[in-house]
Amino acid sequence: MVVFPDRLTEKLNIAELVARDDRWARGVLYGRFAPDLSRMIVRMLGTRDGALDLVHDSFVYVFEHLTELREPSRFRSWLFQIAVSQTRTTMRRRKLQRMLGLLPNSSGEERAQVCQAGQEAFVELGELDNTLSHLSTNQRIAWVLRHVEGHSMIEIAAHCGWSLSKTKRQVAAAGLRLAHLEASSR
Amino acid sequence: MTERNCPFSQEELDDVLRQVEGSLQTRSEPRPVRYWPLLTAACVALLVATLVWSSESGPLRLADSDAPLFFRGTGMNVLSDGSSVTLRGGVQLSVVHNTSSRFRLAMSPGLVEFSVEPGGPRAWSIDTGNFVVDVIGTRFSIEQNADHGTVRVQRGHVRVRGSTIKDGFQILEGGMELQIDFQPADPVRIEESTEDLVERNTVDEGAGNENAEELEPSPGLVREPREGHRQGWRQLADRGAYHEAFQRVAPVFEMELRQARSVSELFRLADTARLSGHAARARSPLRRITREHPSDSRAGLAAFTLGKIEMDAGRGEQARRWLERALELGLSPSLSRAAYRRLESVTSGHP
Repeated sequence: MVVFPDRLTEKLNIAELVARDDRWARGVLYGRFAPDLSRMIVRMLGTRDGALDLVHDSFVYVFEHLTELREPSRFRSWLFQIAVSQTRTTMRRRKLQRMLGLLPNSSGEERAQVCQAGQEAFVELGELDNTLSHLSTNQRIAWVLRHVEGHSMIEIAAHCGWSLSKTKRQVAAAGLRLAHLEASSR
Repeated sequence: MTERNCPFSQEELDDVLRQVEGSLQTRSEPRPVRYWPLLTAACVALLVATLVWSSESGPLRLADSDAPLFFRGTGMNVLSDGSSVTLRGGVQLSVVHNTSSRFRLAMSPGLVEFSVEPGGPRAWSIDTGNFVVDVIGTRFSIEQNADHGTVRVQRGHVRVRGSTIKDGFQILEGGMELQIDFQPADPVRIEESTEDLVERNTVDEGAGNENAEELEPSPGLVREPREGHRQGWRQLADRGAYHEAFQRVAPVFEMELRQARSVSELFRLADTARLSGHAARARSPLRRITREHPSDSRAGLAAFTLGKIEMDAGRGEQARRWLERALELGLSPSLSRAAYRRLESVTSGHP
């Protein structure tokens, strides 16, 4: 199946593609959003491990429930909301597994894989991963989406299913917690 | 790497899409009926699937040969997946990339007719040097001479992308054709992949000043020369001679501030004031950036700089407001960490 780079399909009408709901249209939608979605998931998880599974699960869900989308033009927002929800579940499960000693912490190799994209954000995320692990799952998601992915507060609220005020509280709490941890470590 | 710094390769993403389609197919199929006579049919189906899979997996070859694929001369070439490529008029067609998921060709001037089997696992791309045609299960032709090319689609869809094409790309359906005019390009370098060409021509937009605490001169300063006696201070500022620049601009600072429109011009004025030891004069241009250009990627940096100026001046409440505004407008990860550190120190009363 052909996958088009996202910036070259942005002119295609999302609503028309959603309405078609055939293999070609699914391929175009996938190509349009999969790169951004996978990058966001990797940044939230802090590792590539399992990210493609979440990409797979997110797209399977949205394609199975495509007819339930009342506003086809909101496909992207809906897709990202599904992905954030599934990623949050995975993050909470992994955090519990690490606490119980059932899962090792992210290895240097995994962080290097996250860094391989070559952007400063990835390098910083790799360095921050240990510190970010001290945040709650919601705070980590909020901070990464805001300060690494660059989403607006409104977008984060939509992705996470939060009110705007809760979103701002989570982002602010995460930032202050990080600053406090870094100050304590000096 | 796919565009926008995706952490996965195109091949990895293609594999996931195939798995998605497989999952959708599996979930929509009814449960098989467990009758033992069907086992025989299942074995036959498995044998057929293996034969089909072995012909579709791995690189494409000619239908009647196991040798590595290459195109020579004129006439029709039938490929192992049932697609065909017909060369006419002395055109040269080279294989750039040939795997189970991607098939890329480089084409010289001439005429080639393609019939690509729909539903196949591979993404096809044909690079003419002046434009690129991406394919989904279609029948189409590409004709190219010295100064223009024509893509004609008989069946299916193709996407044609190139710098001289309106909006950068066009999608053609069956019955459509597109003529592309261009200046003669360099000969196709068949050793360079199309992805390399796309990456080479993709503008990478930075996120702003990463050296947060140093607060070097702000990014994106306009360096073009301007006429008149006032150009002196700009050239001095662009060279980093901020003290001399401020001496030159100080008598006309308010006029320059009124006339400055772009973020770059306002930042130049602010940096000249700030880095020459006149931080208070930098407030006005920085405030204008946050007020008049809130969606610019450097607006957050302007607010952060204001927060730093207010902290240095001992105005904690004003510093707190500007740092919070900076976080609202958006900062790079390093700057956001710096902003939170400063917020914590302002809040705790320990600068």
